[in-house]
Amino acid sequence: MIEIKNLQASIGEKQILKGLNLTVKPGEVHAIMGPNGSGKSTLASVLAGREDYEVTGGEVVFNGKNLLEMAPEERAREGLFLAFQYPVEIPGVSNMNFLKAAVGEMRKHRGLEPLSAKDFLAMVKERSALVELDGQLAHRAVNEGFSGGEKKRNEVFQMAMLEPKLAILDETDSGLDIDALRIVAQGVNAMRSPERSFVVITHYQRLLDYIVPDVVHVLYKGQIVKTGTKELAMELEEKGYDWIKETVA
Amino acid sequence: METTKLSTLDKWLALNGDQKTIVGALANDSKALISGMEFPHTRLEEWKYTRTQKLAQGNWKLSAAEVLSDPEFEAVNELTGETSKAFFSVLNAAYCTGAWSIAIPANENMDEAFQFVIKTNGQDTWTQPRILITAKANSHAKFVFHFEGKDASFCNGVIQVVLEENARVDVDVIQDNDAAHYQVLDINVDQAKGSYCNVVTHTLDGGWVRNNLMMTLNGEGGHANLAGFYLPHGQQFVDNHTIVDHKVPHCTSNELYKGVLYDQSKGVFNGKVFVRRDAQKTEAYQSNKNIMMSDEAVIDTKPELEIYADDVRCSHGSTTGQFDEEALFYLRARGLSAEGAKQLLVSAYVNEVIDRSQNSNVVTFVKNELAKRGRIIADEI
Repeated sequence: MIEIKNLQASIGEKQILKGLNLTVKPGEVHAIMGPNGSGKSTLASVLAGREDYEVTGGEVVFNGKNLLEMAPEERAREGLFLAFQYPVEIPGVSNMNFLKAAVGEMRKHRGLEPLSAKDFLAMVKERSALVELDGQLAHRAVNEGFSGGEKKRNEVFQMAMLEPKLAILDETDSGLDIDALRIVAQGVNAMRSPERSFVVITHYQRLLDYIVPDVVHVLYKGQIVKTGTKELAMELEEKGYDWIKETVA
Repeated sequence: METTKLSTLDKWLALNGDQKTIVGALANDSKALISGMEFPHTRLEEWKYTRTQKLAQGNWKLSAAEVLSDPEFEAVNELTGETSKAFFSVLNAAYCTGAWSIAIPANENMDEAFQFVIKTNGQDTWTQPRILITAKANSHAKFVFHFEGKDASFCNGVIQVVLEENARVDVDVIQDNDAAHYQVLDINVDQAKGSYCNVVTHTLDGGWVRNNLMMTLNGEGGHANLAGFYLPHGQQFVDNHTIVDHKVPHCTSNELYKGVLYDQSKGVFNGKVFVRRDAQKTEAYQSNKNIMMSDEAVIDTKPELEIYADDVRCSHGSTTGQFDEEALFYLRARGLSAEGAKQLLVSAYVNEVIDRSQNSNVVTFVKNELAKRGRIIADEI
């Protein structure tokens, strides 16, 4: 699905990713954990194509293609989805018009006919129900005036609409209460399939109680320093990140 | 100053010596007045940002505009009454090529909007249409003025709107001109007690456009709404000058102009709000916002507020910037092209102005036209 080799990236003068390696196979769920400032969100941003970051070395192969050469929209059309840590409010742009355009682009890229308005609305209804998103929210402006939980549910709803091959969830659990967390996880789990992979970036183990990962990685100072099973996440929760810092040092 | 060169006006009049224009006391007065007036140039405050040289260089030939009007408009054969003392208003009255009037009877509520299409075609053609609307007490009517300017031609139009007590008038102006066309449009609105007037200017395309909109609140409890958008591209130039004059207490006004400027286009916004000494309890809001889509585009924006009363609520402001990079990235990360993402953002931005129109047919028409031209994405759902 995705193969990241020796990825190095910096913002301004500061190098953040220092030779990161990660391979995710179809159908797998990988969790990436790590202390603040370890490079978790940088990894998500670099993969999605945010221009603030400069890739200074390494390569990323996504379904056999060089991901780093693609514009953000090409990555999305190839099946990469980033659920933002801070979804952007876009006043005046309705969720529906936005999604219609986005779904249209995906289908065009995959050589599919545009959806009829009826089929599109049926899909909206079905997929918004996955994250218990109020039908009204789908008609409002993108994220405008949404609560923190609604914004994250809207991200997962969009993911469900766009049907990516690989979804990266960047701290989707941050700022969520336990009910919202459960709903978001339920939406993600409904999307799990043997063809679809997930990279779940999180600071805390609690999300992984709901979205159970196949592999857990610990990111520290821009590198994956430890890889294990879901038990690794529990160990981290118990011992804290200092344990990792000591192990690595 | 002694000069051997003919003035612009003399040159224009020499080209149109035998052309018949509409007669009347107002025409005669205006002829006398215009001969002593200075042709607008950038050293005059009102024209500081507006280059008139190319317009002045034109060899314009007066001709009647091709109009398609609702039959309720009556042709006027003799000009009377008064006009604004602005140069182009006086010029229009002095050598008017076609005039119409309509009066909405008291207490009449007209459901259907009155349509008026004004076309100026053909190289060097110069039209000077003039329209007078009178809305009698407690009447309500909607109007759509659709200006089309083709070729290197010039349309200098005037629309006068008089609202009697508690009348309501909604005006939509649609401007759709070729790159080589020049348009000056003066709209003067006089509002009596309790009246409500909403003027929305939709500039779809315009080579060189100067709009002067003046709304005067003469009676208590009046409300004036002004809105407009401009999306100039290429070398287009669009200038909106507005004046809202609060002469009496307890009136409100609300103004919103928005622009998106592409390529080497240029825009001007100059909005003045006067609150006279007696106009206590005035509420006046004015806003001008601009998005620059190119490093070479230019906007001159000048919101002005002159308040001589002490118990008022007024605000004005102007913003100019680029699109939020975060919003653009968010949309692209969902698969929209950079171009498509910008169109979607422009749609949201401009729809706020278009939706101020009270005429749903106009809203649909304007959005479809802009979508056809690739400026915005039409609402489909």
